[in-house]
Amino acid sequence: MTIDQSLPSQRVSDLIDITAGEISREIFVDEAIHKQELENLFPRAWLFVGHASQVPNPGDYFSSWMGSDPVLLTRDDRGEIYVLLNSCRHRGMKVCRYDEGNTMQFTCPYHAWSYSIDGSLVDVPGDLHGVPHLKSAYQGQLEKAKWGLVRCPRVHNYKGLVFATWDEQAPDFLDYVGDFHWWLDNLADAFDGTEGGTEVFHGVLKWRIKSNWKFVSENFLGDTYHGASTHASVEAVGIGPGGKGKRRHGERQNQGGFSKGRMKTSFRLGHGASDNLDYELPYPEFAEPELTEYFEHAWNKRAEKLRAEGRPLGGRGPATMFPNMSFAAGFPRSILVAHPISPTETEVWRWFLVDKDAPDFVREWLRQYYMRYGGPAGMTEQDDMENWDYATNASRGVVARRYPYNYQQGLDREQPSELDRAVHSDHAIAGEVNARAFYRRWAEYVDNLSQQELTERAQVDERIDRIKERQAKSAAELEGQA
Amino acid sequence: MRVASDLAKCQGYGNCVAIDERHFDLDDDGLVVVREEHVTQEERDTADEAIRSCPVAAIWLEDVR
Repeated sequence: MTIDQSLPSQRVSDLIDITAGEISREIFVDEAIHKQELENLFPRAWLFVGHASQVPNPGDYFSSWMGSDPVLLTRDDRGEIYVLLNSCRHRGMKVCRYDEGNTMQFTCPYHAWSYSIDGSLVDVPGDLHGVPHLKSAYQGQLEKAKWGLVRCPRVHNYKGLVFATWDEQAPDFLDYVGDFHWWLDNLADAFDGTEGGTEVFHGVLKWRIKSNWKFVSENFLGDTYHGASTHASVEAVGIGPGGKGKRRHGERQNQGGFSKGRMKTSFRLGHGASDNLDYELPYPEFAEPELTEYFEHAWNKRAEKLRAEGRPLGGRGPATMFPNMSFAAGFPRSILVAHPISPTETEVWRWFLVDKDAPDFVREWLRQYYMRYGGPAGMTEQDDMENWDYATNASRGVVARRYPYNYQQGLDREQPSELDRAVHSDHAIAGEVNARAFYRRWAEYVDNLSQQELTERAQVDERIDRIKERQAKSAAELEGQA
Repeated sequence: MRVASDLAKCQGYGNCVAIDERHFDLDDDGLVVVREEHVTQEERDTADEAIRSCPVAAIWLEDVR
């Protein structure tokens, strides 16, 4: 493949060759492409903003980011959730500089324009409620209704997971997610299967890495290939539920009989998971018997509920919802958002979830496990960050940028899936089908295809046709031999 | 109940006046003036809303001693 390096006027899709399995390093380091991402991708995609349990009461707020823009997740006096741009309409000052809290109004520190989220005082929460010296400064004529905080027009609360998009033309959230919702269900539902039975545990960990945000998304999207090498030391220490000699996520598939075989799942819409729904991995055996007992009970209850609904029990991830929300729905159960700062800097936020009705000893065990696993001081996270930082640093050189990355694992070896517009890898560990689909979708957004074009392109998953062609061909060959 | 105010806090938003003209007004500097201290039972809801609408909590109700 020859990648055209004449930046920046070209289309980013020219840098992605998914047929050959080659992707230019430019998309991980180039300023102009980063700007195109901020302009064309982040304001038009559905993004994870926060969890409803972070704003349980009227007046609660949580400060978050959507791409390049700071936002406030708020709850008004009627219990409704809003997402507001955290920037004063007068001179743009950040009206709220706290991470989270409770207030019915945001008064700008600069000139004291005041915005209310009390629906009994303003028409719509976020409206401009008052400006100092309204009478003398504006002769009482300021049209307050026009100068409220910018409101995100589309917000969707999915079992407590709050998503938003700035684009009025974007598809409905459920269409954007497609059959990938099964993974979101496993994330949002309690360990015993109770719908939406989770809450955020002890705040959010936030830190910056010297790497492109896509390294993070891709890692959780289905890169199980790095585990054995990158996380070898973590496995040697034994940080998982079972302690020393057991796996870091608590897997016990090698103990026999539990798994129907693991494959990765890749959606035409760009989402991807490291596993498939039929890969039924029971909760771990813990070093502490009371935890094993607790989670065994939860697993059995969940199994009974889901079987009655005809649902398989798998789909725990790790997974990434396009573009930048990654998560794992098991051990740990955690959400990770990669906020783009620059082409080579990312702010990573990690939320940890816990069952709403989990007893204290379970919470305390999970708290310790989450801390030693993830976040800036977590051992598994440190392994990954080290890779992303050094990969970025060694990819930004003039010569390095001439050579594409290799995404050839499992090319033309995709397997059919029961899920809508999805395929599987043919191997549990190898297989870069998820990343190829992710970057194709990424390029469609960044090249600024209209929402209508984006929808139309994703109507068909031609990978499925290729699987059928391949099957027909090998059937014909077999017949020829016979 | 009666209305009380703190001119050091007032920034002349004028929200109170827009809601409750009977008890509040603005002076020539655009700051709050209490026109009528006394709040009757019938006037209580309106006065409460005006007080709640003040972004800097420069006005409030207190018991008549």
